[in-house]
Amino acid sequence: MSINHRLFLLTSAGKWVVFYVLVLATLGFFLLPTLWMIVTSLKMNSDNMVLPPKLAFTPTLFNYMTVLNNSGFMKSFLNSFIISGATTVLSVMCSATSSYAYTRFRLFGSRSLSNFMLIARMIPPIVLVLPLYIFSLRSGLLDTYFIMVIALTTFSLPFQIWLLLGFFSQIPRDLDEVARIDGCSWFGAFIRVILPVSAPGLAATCLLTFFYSYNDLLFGIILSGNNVKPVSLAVMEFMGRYSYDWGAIMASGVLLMIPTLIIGIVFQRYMIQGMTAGAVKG
Amino acid sequence: MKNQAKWTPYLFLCPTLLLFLVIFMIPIGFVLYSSVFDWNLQKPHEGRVFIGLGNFVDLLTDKKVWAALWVTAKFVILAVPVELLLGLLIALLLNRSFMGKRWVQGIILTPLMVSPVAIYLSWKFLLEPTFGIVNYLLGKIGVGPYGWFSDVNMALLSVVLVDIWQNTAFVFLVFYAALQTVPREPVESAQVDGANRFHVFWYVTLPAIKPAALVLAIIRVMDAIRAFDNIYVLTLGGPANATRTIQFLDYELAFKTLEVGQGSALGLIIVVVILLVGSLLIREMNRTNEELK
Repeated sequence: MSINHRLFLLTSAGKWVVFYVLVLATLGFFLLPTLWMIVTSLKMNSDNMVLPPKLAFTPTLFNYMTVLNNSGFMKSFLNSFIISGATTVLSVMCSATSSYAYTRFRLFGSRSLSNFMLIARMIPPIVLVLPLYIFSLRSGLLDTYFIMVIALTTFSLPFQIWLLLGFFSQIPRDLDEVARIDGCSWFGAFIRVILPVSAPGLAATCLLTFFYSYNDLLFGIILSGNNVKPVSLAVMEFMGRYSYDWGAIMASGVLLMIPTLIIGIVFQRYMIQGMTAGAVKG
Repeated sequence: MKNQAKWTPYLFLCPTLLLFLVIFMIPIGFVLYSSVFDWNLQKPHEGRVFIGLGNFVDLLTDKKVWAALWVTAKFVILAVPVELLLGLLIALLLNRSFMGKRWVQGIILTPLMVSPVAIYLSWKFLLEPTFGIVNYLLGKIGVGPYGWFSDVNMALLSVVLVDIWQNTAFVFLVFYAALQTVPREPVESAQVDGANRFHVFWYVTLPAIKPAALVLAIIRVMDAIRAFDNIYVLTLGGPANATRTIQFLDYELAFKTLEVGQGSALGLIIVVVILLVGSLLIREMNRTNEELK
């Protein structure tokens, strides 16, 4: 940083202009689609279907009313929260305990575990979802929270273990040794010492799992029906029904992104930590 | 106490091992098993007929499978390098202190916080042929109008464009974090020795961020091979199957025509392709990590 900084003090203002133009172009590219979606969702359709695009218009919540009056849309929101919440809790409990065990004990395959998890991550969901579909079809579990949570949990475990292995191996072993000498069991040491120390890593893992489950589409398409339909699928079906009502379609998209956008902005630090942890070893 | 230590690790592993067994190994076993049967859920009276490797022979001699593989390859080759390059360029651009840096970074990361379905919907309207703002703006400079997702020649490129928008932010994020770990002394001594910025980048920075680049390449290539959501929302594999990726073809086989046997066989073929590409990349990654040690 400092070198760049010093270099930049030496260079002319012209370079700064070029720099800010590039930054603005980047921002425009990343901001425009989301912004335009929000703008479109606030316009009456008569304003959306004209050229040139209207920039001066009276904002209306009409499109949001259309979406929210659609019975089942709010329910699908609730479904998504239940499914993603339960998946996050269940899968992080499993992955935290097992990653801890793998970083603290010599177990079979612990050396190649990280690579194995990377490979397990690569198995396409469609391969796993076909047996799950036939199983739940036969056992009557299709369209239940249970099967959705189980499916998403299995699918998020490899990536969680991969992340947590990194986080746990950074915690010095002395820390749990001390706790053990003080009379803690392994489990006690895990709960009282390791979990609090690794809270940021766990938070990052939870956050990414929640995002992943909330954003999932494939499992929803195949394993859910009207009872537990997640909101991402509800939005898709909504689009199919009103294929030219762009205002309403964009409104449903905005509603869909609000939860993750808020969570993402509030917990940005943890999200960044989680996303970079596996790839960058500092 | 000592006895306890022997089985404690396995107590910790228990939940995960159980889940892995029940919903990872058993399904994969099931897929292996059903791939050797002629089995269609729409024709329950015909049941399962053992046909050995018949499904694989049928699939590998089927033009639509090769066409879908080709579409997938094109998608990966067009999208991933651009994402890696663009993400790296933005990371290098922002790797200095300037006014408003926090805001700029925050905005660049928004694609990661917006639900993919919402992303696809917004792009569908942006690239709408008649009222889309992109065609309108291009028209202003005398280009177009294009049919985007509805044009056979443009559809895959349009999907690639959306993919680039969606995933460059992640690449940027990882490269930016990697750049913070580049040691300063070599850079400074290189500059003292009179190296220009390009030389510093090529001989000092690039080797330092190579591990991150390889992990990124692995993650992005794997995700791109498995691309499904974007095809489902944006094009449904059309027009004229121009965007029907291998993953989407498998979805159609298994869940539209309910050919369980063929769907399983194609699923296994996808796994083999992914493992081949993946293990090559992982080996390269491990080699780089060894060299660094």
